[in-house]
Amino acid sequence: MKVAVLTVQVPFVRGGAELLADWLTENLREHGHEVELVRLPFRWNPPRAVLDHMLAARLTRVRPADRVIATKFPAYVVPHENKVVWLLHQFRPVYELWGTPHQGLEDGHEAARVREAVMAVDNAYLPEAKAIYTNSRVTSTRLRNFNGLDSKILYPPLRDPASFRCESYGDYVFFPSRITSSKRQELLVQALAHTRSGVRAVIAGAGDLPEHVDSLRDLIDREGLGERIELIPAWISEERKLELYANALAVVYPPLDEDSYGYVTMESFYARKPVLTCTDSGGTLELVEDQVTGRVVAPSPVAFAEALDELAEEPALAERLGERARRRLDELDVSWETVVETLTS
Amino acid sequence: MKVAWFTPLSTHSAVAEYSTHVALALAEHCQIDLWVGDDDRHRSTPLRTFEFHDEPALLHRLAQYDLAVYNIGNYDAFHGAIYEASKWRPGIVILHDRSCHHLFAAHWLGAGEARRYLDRMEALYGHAGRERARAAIEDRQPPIWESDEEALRYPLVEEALVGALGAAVHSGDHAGDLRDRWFGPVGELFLPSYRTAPHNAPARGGDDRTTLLTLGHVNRNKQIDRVLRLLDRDRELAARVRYLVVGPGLEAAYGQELVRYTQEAGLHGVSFLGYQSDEVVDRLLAESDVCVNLRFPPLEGSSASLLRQLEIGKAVLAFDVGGFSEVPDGAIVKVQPGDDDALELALRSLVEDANRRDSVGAAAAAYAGPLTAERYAEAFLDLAETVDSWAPVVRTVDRVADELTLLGARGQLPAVELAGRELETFFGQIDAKPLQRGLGPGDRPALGRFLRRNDVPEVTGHFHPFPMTEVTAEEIALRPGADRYYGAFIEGRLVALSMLRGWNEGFDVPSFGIVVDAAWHGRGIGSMLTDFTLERVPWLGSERVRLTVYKSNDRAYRMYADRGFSEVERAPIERAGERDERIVMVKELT
Repeated sequence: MKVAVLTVQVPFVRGGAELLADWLTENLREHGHEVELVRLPFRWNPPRAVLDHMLAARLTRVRPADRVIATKFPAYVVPHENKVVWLLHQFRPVYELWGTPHQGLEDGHEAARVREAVMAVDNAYLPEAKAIYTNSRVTSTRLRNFNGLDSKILYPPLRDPASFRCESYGDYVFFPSRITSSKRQELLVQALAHTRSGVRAVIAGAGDLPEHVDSLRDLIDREGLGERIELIPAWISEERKLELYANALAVVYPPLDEDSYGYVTMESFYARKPVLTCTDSGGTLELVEDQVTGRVVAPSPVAFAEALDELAEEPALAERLGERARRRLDELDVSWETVVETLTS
Repeated sequence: MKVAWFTPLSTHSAVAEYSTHVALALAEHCQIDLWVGDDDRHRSTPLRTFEFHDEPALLHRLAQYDLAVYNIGNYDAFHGAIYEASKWRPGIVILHDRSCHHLFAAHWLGAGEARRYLDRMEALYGHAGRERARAAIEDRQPPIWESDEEALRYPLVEEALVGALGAAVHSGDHAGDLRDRWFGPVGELFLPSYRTAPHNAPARGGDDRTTLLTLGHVNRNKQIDRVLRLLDRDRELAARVRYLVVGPGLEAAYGQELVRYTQEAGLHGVSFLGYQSDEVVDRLLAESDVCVNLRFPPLEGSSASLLRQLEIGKAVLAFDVGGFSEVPDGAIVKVQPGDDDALELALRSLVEDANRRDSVGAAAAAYAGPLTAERYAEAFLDLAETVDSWAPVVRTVDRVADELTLLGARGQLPAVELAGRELETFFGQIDAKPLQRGLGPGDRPALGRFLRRNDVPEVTGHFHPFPMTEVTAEEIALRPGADRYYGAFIEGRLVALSMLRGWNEGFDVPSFGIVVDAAWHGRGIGSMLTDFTLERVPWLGSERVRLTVYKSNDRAYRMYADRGFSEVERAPIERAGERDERIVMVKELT
């Protein structure tokens, strides 16, 4: 089958969504399909640029394809009679982030018009798809609440899950993620200041903006935690990442209302590590169950510190939760075979 | 806000007169400069002026303005340079005439750009338009602008709006016509009266005849020949009136025709006074009994002279068309164009019945009196907000059109249709409900006007967290801190304000508040903005929200209770001499 994978690309920016498109393309090819990965350029500032991109996408044709798989806004508005949508998230600035400090679009009439136009386009063109799958319960729920559309959940697998291993439950917690306010690295720093166990932390990931890293570094200095926190403000090698997972006591991942479970969660589970997350972290809660596969606590430094101390003082608890986390993945049937079959059937 | 107001300033231009009054009223609200597009003898104005027709390089300064406004009428000498300036920076185009054919034909042909004239005629009106213009250029047919009907068939107003962000016109009828031709926001404003003429003070000097007056440029559109024929036919009526025709244009064929007819018919009560100064016109207007203001077909959006006649309480006789139709019955005497019998009856009635003249005049004054330049300025600022809110849409459509034009696309091509259909999907429904969003620095002027508008007991009786002043608007828009403020906008106008306050003072639980514009109560806007605002709270880091409501505001109390707010505190208080209760309610949002 000729398959066009449609996604968008903010030039020179790569993250989980870009990786997923690559992996999907690879796996479709491995299953014998002829695949083109089509990345439509996208930017959202000034807000009116979104209108241009929507129109450009809508006027784009990929007719020779037998099947189109679209993953992101506005790639999914490209018309095709045999289109399925695997939605990673909608254009969040105009939905759940609208009217909050995370909106990312300047307040004003222009952004408001763009918001209405984006919602009109989603309402008009998402239903064209033969099926809509999402990456999480959170994304499906939002799609239902905002647009009245039904969807099914299709969890994205990791590229190479077998590479993750567990060697020990060491004396540090690992927080691998982009350094940005919505991931809340500062919550871990503030929590460490309240711990009594002396547990350490490794925070690794590139900063979205230099000031995010500076601000985090300042906080670590202010709290006098330079000895206990290793900050690696850059993407680390796959090998280093696997090693840090393998020997961590647990993994910390408390984003604010994440739209999916997050690769970090799944990687942790493959490495048999429990995940420490928050009650308001959104998609992570689909996999992380308190005292079963990790710890789910209130987003406060004190609550976080208690959970850290509990794990540090009883590594056997971390091991027990980690083992249960690994088994949870088997129950979910998350695999590329499932993804490819679902999206091409 | 800094506004560049493009206008002619000639003493011979009605648009110039309008501009000097309106711009002065707008100057109460914003900084306004007049950009003058003609080199005729100018009216005086206290406002700063830039005569850009002498110095086009001045147009680079337009970048310093928040808004550019272009007054366009159907006369090249007054409006041609303004049209050219409008291509420098998009803005609001105020269209004073329904047809701008004469403006553009003269502008292009005068500059030796016959091809441009033909191309635009074809682009807008197809092959037939091009051929008709070609026939005029080659003298095979008369010029289009010499026929009112043809000028309206090929009005070229679309050309005046290329690149515009919005349009303003002075009658609903004109607005409707324009909306059929152009996709952008079209504001329908009333034409203001300027109070420049003294009120009714007839000086008859022993002459007991009824004075009829027709004002303005003498041309066929004013139907003066129809009145002359009527008087010629009804000599008894003619003997009871003196008919003054005041305005330039007598030297032209139509004027000559009128003078000749009058002499040959021996209509001694008819006088052609030609051009007169404003002072003389005002005096003649004051002395007149009936203003005969017959225009057909309607070429202007509305008529400044009509407004002046109504405002000073004159009985006006007009055809029931265009902007004249929109004057309420009773405040003007309207007859169907072409119905000469009805015209004669109406005129006779006004001549014979002084009481009727008085009652029509009184109703006219009551109608036109409130149509002041000050009110016009406020309506214009509302329109500016609407235009601002539509700007991203208009710019997008224009950008797409520009790209298609560059590709040589014509309107009939499927690609053009497809792009149009997609844009319709994007924007077709967006004004079905209010736009709701956070307020930012750019909202300060709108917020200031909203607070001032609602500084009335009906609102402040229940809502008083801060003074309803410009100072408050500035604080909210420019320095909100951690507190959040949201607005609901309809057609760009702020109609409701909501807030989550308390974070600035260190509280964990924000206090919710909302105020809906007094003019928009009872339309569900408050409920909508309440839901919108409460949905944001968890994203702002709180799991609970509180509010205060008075027992006397039962409707609000029920709305909050329906939304899951629970009462946690109630205390008796006295407000404005009445006993009331202050109720604190809380809602958990987890």
